Amino acid sequence: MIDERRIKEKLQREANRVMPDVLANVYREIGLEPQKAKPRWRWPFGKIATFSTAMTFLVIAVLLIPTFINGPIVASAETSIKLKIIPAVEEDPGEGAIYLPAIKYLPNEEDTPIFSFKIDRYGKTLPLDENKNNAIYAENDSAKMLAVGLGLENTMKKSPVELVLSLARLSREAGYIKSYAKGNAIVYRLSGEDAAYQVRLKANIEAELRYYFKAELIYGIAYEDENMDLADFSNYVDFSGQADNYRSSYDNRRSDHKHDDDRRGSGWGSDIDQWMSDHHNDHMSDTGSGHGR
Amino acid sequence: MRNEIDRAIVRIQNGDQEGLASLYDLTSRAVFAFILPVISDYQLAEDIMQETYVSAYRAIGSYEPGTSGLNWLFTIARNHAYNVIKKRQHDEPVDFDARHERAGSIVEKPNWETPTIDIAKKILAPDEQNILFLYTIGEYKHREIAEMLNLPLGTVTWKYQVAIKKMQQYLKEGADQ
Repeated sequence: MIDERRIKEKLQREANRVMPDVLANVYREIGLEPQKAKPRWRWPFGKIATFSTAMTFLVIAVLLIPTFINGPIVASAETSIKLKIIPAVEEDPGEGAIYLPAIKYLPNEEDTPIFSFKIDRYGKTLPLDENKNNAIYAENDSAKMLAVGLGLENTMKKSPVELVLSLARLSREAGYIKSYAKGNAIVYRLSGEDAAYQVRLKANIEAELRYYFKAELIYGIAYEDENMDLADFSNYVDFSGQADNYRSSYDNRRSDHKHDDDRRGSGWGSDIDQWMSDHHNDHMSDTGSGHGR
Repeated sequence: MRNEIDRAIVRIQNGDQEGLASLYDLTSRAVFAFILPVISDYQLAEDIMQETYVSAYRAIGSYEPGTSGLNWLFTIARNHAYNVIKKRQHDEPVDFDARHERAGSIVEKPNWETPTIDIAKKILAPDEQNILFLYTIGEYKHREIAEMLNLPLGTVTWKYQVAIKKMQQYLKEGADQ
């Protein structure tokens, strides 16, 4: 009689032949950059000896070549970034379509989350506190709320682009980016000694945010403001002890803004390419248009 | 496992793009094993799985932390299986539960790539198929399957043994003939 193990193997083998891998399609359909699933680790109980040998080599590799852990070195020096998330105002400046010069931005710093973080030479965020539980300096209450919403531990060892995208998503969910109003902006400034890395980082941040805004039909832009202050971590204070308070505020804001998309009119997004292009050009020619104040 | 799945969902809720890849990695075999008893061809499985994860992402806010993320995902998968099958067979009204009950009528065309799966679908009751597929293809433990399907652990273990015995008997008879 065929034994249980063989039936199991046959079923697994057959399933592997026909099981679809739809992850890339899923990412495409929701408008995100496809990511690879990290393989689920399974202990090879039947091959303990092989595993032990492999582990020995791994330990040697880890000890001798830190690059194996941290990934390739991408920059010759640390880089810092400071960024502000500036929501569009809700008021319609008049009849008809909102025209760029009519867009004003909230000057109220409380409604403008401000973050800073450091990036190491491997292109990953660096811890700011002694316990190495947090990599982000949330400079005001709204920023602290979002950082707690993201999870302070989730800011660690992240690519800066990924972290900025996560902050953009949370900002949108908490109403700091208004999906129903035109004129949202993410303004940032890079600093550090590796100018070439900063050029690459700037290109990646702006491309990814543009992709995100467009996929979500958000009238927003991202740009570097050279008039903005540089990141300064001298006033950083670990606020993880107050996380519960900020989490509650974050949950409330998310709840308040969960129907934001319902406020979009019909035809929303039809002119978004033109809008983004115009507005980006506007900033390239005149950085003093009011963002970042 | 359950905690890992729930954490992946919460990561997505928090805007972590990689959370979706983690969720997919942790659950895709389970979702596939879960819908296997109700699909008639594997193209349907692709459609259902894709729609399941897209819908899960879009409705990520509807998941309540602390509840079973996999049950939440199974509910979405089940609804999509219903919709996709109904759409494919629009001229024949489909009762998902009735379809699920008709063990033996699901496999419309034997597939040379999956003879053992087809046999299981032909001879096993739907709940036996679910348990067998989740255990063998999904590689979940009996305890985890019991949690997923809201069944007592003893029931899962017993039904799995029944399923294996039926499979062994059928394959033996096939070999004898």
